[in-house]
Amino acid sequence: MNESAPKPDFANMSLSSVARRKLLSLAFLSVCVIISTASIVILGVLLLSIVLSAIPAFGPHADTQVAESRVLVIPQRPPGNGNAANGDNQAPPSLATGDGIQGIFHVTELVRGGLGDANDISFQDAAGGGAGQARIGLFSFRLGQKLDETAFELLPATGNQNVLELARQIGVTVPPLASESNDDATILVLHHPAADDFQFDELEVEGQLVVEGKLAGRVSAAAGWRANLVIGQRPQTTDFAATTFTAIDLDELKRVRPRKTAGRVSALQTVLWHDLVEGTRFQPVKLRSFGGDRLIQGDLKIDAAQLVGLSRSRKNGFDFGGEFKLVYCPTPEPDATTAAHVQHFLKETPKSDPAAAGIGPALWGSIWVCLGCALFALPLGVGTAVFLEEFKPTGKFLRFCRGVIQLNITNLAGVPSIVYGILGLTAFATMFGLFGSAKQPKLQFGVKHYYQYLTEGMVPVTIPVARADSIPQLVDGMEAQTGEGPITLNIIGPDDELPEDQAVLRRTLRSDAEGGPIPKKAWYYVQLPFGRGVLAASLTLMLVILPVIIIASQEALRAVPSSLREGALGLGSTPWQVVRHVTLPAAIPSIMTGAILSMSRAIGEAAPVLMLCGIVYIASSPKHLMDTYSVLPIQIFYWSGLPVDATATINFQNVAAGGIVVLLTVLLTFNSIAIAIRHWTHKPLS
Amino acid sequence: MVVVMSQANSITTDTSRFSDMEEQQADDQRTMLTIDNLCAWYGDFQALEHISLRIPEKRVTAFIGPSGCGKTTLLKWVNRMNDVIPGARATGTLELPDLNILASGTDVVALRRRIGIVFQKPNPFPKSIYDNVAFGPRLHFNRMSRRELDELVEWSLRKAAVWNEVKDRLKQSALGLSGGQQQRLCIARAIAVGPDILLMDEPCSALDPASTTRIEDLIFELRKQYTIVIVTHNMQQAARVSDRTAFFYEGKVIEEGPTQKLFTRPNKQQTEDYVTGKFG
Repeated sequence: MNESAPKPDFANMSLSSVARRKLLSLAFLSVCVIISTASIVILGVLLLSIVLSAIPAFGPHADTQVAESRVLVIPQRPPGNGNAANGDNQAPPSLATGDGIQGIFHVTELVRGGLGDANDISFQDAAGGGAGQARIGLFSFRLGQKLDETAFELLPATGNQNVLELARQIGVTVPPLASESNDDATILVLHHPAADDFQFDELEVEGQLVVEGKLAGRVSAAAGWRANLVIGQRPQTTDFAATTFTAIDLDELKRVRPRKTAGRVSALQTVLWHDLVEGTRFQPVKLRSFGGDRLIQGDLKIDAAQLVGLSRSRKNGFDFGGEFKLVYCPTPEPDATTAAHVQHFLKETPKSDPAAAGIGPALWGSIWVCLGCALFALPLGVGTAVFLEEFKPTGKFLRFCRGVIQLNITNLAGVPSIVYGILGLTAFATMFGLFGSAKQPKLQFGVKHYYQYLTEGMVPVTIPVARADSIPQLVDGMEAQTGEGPITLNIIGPDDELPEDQAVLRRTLRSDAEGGPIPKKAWYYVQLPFGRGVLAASLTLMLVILPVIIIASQEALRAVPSSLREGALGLGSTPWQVVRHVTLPAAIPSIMTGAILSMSRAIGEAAPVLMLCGIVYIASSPKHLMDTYSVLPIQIFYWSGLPVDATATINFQNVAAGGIVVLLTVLLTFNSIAIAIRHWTHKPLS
Repeated sequence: MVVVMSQANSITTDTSRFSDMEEQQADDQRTMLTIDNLCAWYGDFQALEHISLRIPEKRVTAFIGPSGCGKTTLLKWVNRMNDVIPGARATGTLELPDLNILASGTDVVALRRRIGIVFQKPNPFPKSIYDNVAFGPRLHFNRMSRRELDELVEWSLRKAAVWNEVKDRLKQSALGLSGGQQQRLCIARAIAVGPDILLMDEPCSALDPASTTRIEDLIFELRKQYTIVIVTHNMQQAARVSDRTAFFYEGKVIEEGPTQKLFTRPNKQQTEDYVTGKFG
């Protein structure tokens, strides 16, 4: 061999230019520097623009504070008795205050008189109508029923048609349903095409029966709702403190309870709500009342001087005269400190007014979902990695199986997350339909069922029942719960005389009284199927990040020198002891790195959660693992898509930017915690 | 060069200290480990062919031979470290006086407590020095009080001749020790569980001559209490520390006997060529 290859002639070989080689490497270096600088600059500009546009969201808020409230009672107008048939000829009743008070008023309550048997009420402005902006929200609540059923009940005719018809009449478009249904409340939001902003303040009803004419339970302290609230079974005045409810006399409110319960509507409350911006012109808007006595309340947020009249119903000749309670609400003082603004943004619920909107529920939703996700994904992911890496089978067939599993996991890491959304929907939210629907779960734990009635004395009472669909037998002398404590019911026949004594009347119930079921869910409430709750989202996100965690953990375990394993084995450790005392502690820092990356992904992941929640306007943070929720990315996504008002100082785009800042902060917080854990676990090794 | 010279000098001196006992030891000492007709495979490759050896108690037995001749394989079969290697299997007999090592029912965890192993490269755990030594006792012994454990750790470290160097920094990471100290720590770790046999797989090959000398002295000390099997590429080392030597070549034991005899008057030509450096 040596003879066949000629000896290289090193002396006469031409050398490549060292200078050229150095130049090339310098050129490469400068390209790298330019690219990395450019990317840093671009990222910096992006971040800066986000932060800058987020500043208004953390700025002063218009509705954060109410300096003073005043009550103004408008004298009752004599009812237009007997003139129902020819109501058209009668002049509209005037609600002009006439006492010289200027400012924004909220009609908070119809104390006496009111709608009578009206089906239609029209509100008109001083100029007698015309095009304008009306902000309309239509809410329907009922228990455990889907929206279209609710609408069916809600309006005299059938189906969703009435909602659409109403929407057509008042000139609004009906968007796709914002949410299929909350457990206890269904919220349909109507957008007005002319209105830039989306006038709807959210409302939360918690596990309470909504008796006709009453909204039992908690209504979130949302500015636009200050007029619409009707106090229910347990007035939770603390919740209303932030709004103008201070002026409401709760006892007086009870006087406007409807007289009689009719039909299944007893478990239903409908509120039609108007919010008219000061000085705007608006089309005549019809409020419908259903079945005569249903309480309808409107929030007229207009200049008192413009409130000149409310026209009569043409059909039924109702008399709108009555005693109203107005709350005078002076312009609120802006908040003092930036910290208060930030706190407001973090705590408040999403609002129709960008200046008042906050990110509270989405923030808590994200924290719940991600903590749940970490709780499931980390042990499972690390455990799987340990199993695959440290307990490798020796048999041929098992090794083949392991290879297949490994291949699958590697491939799953690249699957688009929306696919996991579908998977999560099928596997966790509905559980393949094996356990009934999410609304009527077959298995429930941590829930107590009650049936609620409204006594003849207008006291809501609850009677515990065994199952959601069982109706209690009303027996004279049985115990029932009220907001104030247990009472003994006085059951009378359908046609019996009502007792005179108010105390007895309060606990009197007709034997044919209609009630409705209410579930009361504890914090540990669990159901099968999981439904579109926090748990389903956590598990779905777990699926998204599990492959990444497994692969990262496997890499980390593989990086542990095998000499350590041998050393531990040689000392007589069992395989598990090797993992527990040697391999895992040595690999934890790298595992944490993988976990950090995947958790960051989980926090920012919107696609799978979009399929599993879709509720954008939710007023409460989750209370249990099956509760509805919203997460930061979805909230941001929704806000950023809302129309822009060029004249406004703060738009929803600013609010969305504020949301991004919060999201990034949450992300960094999660990462810092993980880095801290990594640091601490690393310490003994250094 | 100086080092080589001194090692060469020490061959004669060190081997001489066993010379008076070498002849009778095979008869006197009880057999600790019996290897009979052992064959081992990695998949289709046969690493050991019909090995038969007797390892005497409280003596140092050295395995020498060129790379890939099966010394380490045999060592790892002795405490079943080869179990985890896919495709590794063995036939034949490998027995302690009271235990059949290769039997499938043998509990390897208990076995490895009795047969400790020290690897070629020092492999202390990334823990404190104390925890490294206490690792084994914590696995195997129930309800040791803090004091008992302290005493055991100190005893082991003293036994491994590393106590004086580490006694002030027991809580510091073992990775901060030098290579020789780490290897002695690994020996301390191995003897802390009270083994009968110590297997040493080229314990000095990653160490400098000074550390090597210390380890060799340590082996000589440990010989009083433990049966030691040492694999080495360094024939001088084998000559210095071992009582008996087995020469391996291509998976077979070519020759086995008292060290001095094997190094000075080998029966086989192959052995003589190897120990005199003519091949390998």
